[in-house]
Amino acid sequence: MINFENVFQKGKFRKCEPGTKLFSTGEIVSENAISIIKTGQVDLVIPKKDGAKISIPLGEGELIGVPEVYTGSKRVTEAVCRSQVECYSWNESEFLEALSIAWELSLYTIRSLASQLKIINSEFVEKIHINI
Amino acid sequence: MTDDFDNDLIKFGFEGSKGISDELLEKYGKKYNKNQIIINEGDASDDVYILYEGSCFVLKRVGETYKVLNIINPGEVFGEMAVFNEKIRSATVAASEDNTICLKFPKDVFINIFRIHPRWVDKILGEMSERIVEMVKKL
Repeated sequence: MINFENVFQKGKFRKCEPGTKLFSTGEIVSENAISIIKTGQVDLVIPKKDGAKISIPLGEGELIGVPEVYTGSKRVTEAVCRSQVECYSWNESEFLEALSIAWELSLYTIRSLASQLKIINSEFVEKIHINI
Repeated sequence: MTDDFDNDLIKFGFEGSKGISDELLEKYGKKYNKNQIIINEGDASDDVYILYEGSCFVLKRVGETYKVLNIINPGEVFGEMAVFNEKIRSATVAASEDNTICLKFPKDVFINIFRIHPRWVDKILGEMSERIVEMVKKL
């Protein structure tokens, strides 16, 4: 696990109760743009067009909110604390600064996005068929 | 740095696509025909690819056919999930046109390139973020 105290000096420490929404779908990315979970579990909830929802459970060391910051889009998911959660949050420039001083953080971020992408991939099937 | 890590790779690390030398292409470049599979879903491998020329489909196997998840354009990195997450390939990547050229880097070489310059962190995070947002919007 990352040495949080060293790496996240610039981050804002937050303690959230179960059920707390860290952000909602459609929100503009705000001050707490990106968070990393120190303890606890957060559900990243993706609304589908048919009304169903996909829930991606995120735990210790996983990052929340990265895709919208990198693409400049509004929130496309909702993040809800499943348990009591301790996390560190940054605004965009603080996060980029943290990345520049902590090599490990970039690895954690990429790993976290990769696991989210893997779940989304498995849910997503476009209606184009290719015969190989 | 490993013995494999020569000046051509360092230049590429600093300059990105502009820094691709003929020697680098010769050493790491691979040419693919249309529909030729580059990465096969379910295989255990951890090479990382950068599309140099042409285009590729990211595909998911559904029964006997493949369905398109995404399209990869020149300059984009793919296969990186196996390096940073797990070795088993979660999707298939195939060339979507003839004469598609990819740079194929073994994991260790790619990690050394990745550490040379912050551009690679930005690039990979940016590309993965775009894929996530794009796919979530289509779900």
